[in-house]
Amino acid sequence: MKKIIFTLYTSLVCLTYVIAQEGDSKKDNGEFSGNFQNTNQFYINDPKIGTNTTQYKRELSSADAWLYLSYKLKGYKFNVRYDMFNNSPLFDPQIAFTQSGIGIWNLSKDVDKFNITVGYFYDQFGTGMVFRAFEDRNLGLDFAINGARVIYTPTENTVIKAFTGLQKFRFDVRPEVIKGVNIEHRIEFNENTSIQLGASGVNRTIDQNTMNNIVGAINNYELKNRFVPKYNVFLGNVYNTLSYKKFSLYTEYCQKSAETIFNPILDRMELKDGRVYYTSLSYSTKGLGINAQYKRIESFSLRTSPLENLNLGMIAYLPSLTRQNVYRLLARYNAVVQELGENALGMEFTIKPQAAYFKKHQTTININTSIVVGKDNFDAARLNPVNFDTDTARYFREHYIDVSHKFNKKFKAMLGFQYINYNQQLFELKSKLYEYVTAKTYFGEMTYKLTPTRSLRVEAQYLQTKQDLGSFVNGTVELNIAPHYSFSVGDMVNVDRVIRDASQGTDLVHYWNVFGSYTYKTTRMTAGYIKQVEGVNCTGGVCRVEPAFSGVRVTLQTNF
Amino acid sequence: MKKIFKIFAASLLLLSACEEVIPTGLNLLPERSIFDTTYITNVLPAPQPANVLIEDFTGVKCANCPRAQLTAKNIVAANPKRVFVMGIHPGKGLLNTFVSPFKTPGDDHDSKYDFRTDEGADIITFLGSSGGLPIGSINRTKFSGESAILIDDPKWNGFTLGLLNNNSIVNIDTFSNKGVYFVEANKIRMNVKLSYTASTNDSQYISIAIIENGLIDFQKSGSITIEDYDHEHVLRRMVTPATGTQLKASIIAGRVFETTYDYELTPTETWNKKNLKVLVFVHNGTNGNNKFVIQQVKEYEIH
Repeated sequence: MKKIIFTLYTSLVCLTYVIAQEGDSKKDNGEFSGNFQNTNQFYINDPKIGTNTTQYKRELSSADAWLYLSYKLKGYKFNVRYDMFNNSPLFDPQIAFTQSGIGIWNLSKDVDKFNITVGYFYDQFGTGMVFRAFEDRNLGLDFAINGARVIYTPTENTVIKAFTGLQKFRFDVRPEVIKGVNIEHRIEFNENTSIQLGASGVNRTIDQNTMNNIVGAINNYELKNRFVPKYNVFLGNVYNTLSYKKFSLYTEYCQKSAETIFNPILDRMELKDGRVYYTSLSYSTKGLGINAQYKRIESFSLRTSPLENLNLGMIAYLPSLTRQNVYRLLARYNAVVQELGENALGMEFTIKPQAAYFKKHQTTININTSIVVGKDNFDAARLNPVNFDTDTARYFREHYIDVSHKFNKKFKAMLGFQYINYNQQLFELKSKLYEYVTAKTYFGEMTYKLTPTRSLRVEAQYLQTKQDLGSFVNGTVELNIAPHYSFSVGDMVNVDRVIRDASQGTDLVHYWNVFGSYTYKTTRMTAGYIKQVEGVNCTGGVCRVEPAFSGVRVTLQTNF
Repeated sequence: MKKIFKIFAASLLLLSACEEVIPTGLNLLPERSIFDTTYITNVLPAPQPANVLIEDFTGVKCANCPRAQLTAKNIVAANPKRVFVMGIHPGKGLLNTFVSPFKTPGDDHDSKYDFRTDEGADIITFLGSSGGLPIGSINRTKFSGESAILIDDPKWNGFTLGLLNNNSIVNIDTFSNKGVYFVEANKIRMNVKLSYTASTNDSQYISIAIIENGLIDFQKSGSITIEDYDHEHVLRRMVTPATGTQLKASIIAGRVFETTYDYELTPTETWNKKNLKVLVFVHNGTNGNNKFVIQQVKEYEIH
């Protein structure tokens, strides 16, 4: 309540200032902008697909909404976001969370070469591996920092940032203090060669109350497993982007001092330092793009406290090197980044053949391969792309290829294949009943222009596996009527089911959906009847296990 | 620019090299329990009336501390066997102006004893810390209208009386014939039995303290220093970790814990054995407003 009063008071002071300034200048009337997003879900129980959350039994519906408002005037910027969650499964699918109020607010001002922000802000240092304050509404994540930040730009090639604050947790903040500083400097040697150097330092301090809880837990361990936990953890990283003609090489090294982390394998906390090595090499020329990445993580978990787990309290963001798939069945298996240790390698080729025929038909070939193995399991046998043995030390492997071709002005098509290895027990914390997944997916998409404003799109995928829930077929037919309407109907069928529980029955399980959207200028409304399979939902390596969904989803999104 | 990078790197190295104190309550020593068992009984004992522990944080150079000790003494006298006191002189350099003995250069007196304990420092830090003395806690409870668990002595009596009408969810008793006794010349054996008469979701901890009465030594009182002040209930040693040992089982009505603890006095612990007593108390240990609340406390003579 105090916070809300404080926020309203701050807003009032700001607006008073703005009004007071109106008399001084008639030229700058300020600029007002914002956006609104709303999702409503109505739950229809379907035990066949395993709907089992509280919303199906009690609340029956849920709603989430965000209204973001921004006002700029004379170098001042005031932002405020109202968040509403009614019986929301967003933060934890197993609970119905209800609360609303000011989600974030901030006030910033440019003063000469300084930008000063107080309130809640989002930011990141480098790739975010030592610090990233971000929001991902789909995953129910909001890691804004409530504090103060100064950005100093002494020259156009140099930026220095410093901040201190507390991480947002729903409508409150976590008690651990986080602070950091980051420097980036760009040097251009000539028109072909440049480097962009960066370095960061981050510190997190655990409060006494949290430390009491950590100590209480450690005191319960066997004597040989007890250790002295640290109040402070220090992180640093150095990174550089070297650009030379058509090549770009990014390298980053992150180091973390010893701190208490939770080891789920040992089911207890331990004192560990950590590090990350990351490099990415890309080359781009006419008709060919290549990107290769390597990352090694050694015990690099950083949260507000070791008592937080999964997606809670994340300060460091470890990006995934695996491909971000869009199609429903291709995105079924995702590699959650393993903070305690992994080696990951990814390569991507985009080929656009330069022969006249292919150029005319805009033929494009995408090839991607990635592999993630344990910290100490990076060897030639496991990396061998044609070694198809079941090997649980390969946490994840994907081979992917698609070919798209525009046959004529009206018709274009794409065909592809994906091969997946997936350690489901590791990524989804499944029991030993769930075997190591090997899946092959064949997929395609065709778009046919019926008229200049109407097009028909058909997509289909067949995922073939003997593990997890078994094989699936997915198909969607979509009619687009530009510029306003889009309608689709689709079905995903569990055609070759793995039955673990006799109560599930042996009938074919359909995950069908009907969807429609209406777009007017910057506003988009959608409504759909959806059945969604249980699985892992990921964005950039940050994932959460989502339960099955059955029901109606209505959304509205607008910018102004 | 290079200079900035160098200063930046050096600052990081310097910061990360800073030494930290060991967190309060961390126990890196072997458990002092030599036997422990837990079981569930179908025959529930009658719940004991909830007793009260006053943790009196005090110091020999604290001019107002005798006033607080008198307050505690009067409460105990008015509620015999229901209210107990532990006089805690925090160590580890905390509140040194108030608690260091009269031995430092410039002192007119020379204390016989040093009452300070590291455990005392851990307990006051655990309960919220204070910038001055006297201060105390009543069953480690944060009372309505109070901003902290640690409160001033004029409020102790009222808050204590308010707690004495309740029953405890856990009974503290001893088991075996002797209960708490000297099993050897310098070894105290404590056979403690905890019987829960109601369930709780709060994690539960046991703390055991050895206290000593009748310690005659200097004490500042107002503007004078009393040479033969009788220091009572002085915390000498925690048998358990300062912040307690967790009871590792589900807490439901009928749950019983029986534990035997041994404590062997070290050669430097030349305490007057006749004046030693043992305080046993059970308290919460989870987050929330009642995270430290003491559920029950008993004091035992050592036979």
